[in-house]
Amino acid sequence: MRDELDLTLLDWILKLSPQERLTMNDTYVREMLQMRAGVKALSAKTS
Amino acid sequence: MSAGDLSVGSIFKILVEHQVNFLVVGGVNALLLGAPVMTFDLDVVHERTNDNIERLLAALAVLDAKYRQRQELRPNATHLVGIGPQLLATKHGPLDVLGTIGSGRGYAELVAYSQDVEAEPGLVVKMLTAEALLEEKLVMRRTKDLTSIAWLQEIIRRQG
Repeated sequence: MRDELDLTLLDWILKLSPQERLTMNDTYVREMLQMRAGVKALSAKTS
Repeated sequence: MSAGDLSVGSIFKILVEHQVNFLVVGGVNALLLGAPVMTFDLDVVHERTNDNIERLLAALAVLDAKYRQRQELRPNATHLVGIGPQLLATKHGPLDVLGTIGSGRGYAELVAYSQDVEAEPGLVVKMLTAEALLEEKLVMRRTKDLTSIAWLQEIIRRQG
């Protein structure tokens, strides 16, 4: 399983402060929700 | 802030301001430990004493907490004294308030396996150690936990 991990990504995240890690997650959630809303709007338009 | 948006730091701030005893668990715990995992909600285990439940209820009122599946319903002391998960929507995002987690342990049993983390300058919260979180994830062994398990094993290996 370890071979499948992107250890460079781990190195990068470990260098961030806890606050930066939380901000990164908050941003990810916001973008995912925007994407979900966009897909929903698009499918409503095309159906 | 739109519905569903998450601001973990804002939730922490309100819980800490109300002197609520809680432990961060789940995805945010893994992320704070350094695991590259993203999560849509904040999971906390609260101390189920009457005083703490009273403080938690005051914090939840400020957070405008309602049940995600039944928005007309708000948590009360009877809900929070139990072990079951309270899946809440708050003005700063989804918050799961848990009496116990996978191993059946609650705040009283888990607090000895926690560490402090400064989530924001001056804002300290308690979260499970990497070893304790890994133990819980191994008990649950849900498909969604497999990646977190691998990351936590690597983080523990690096902590030496």
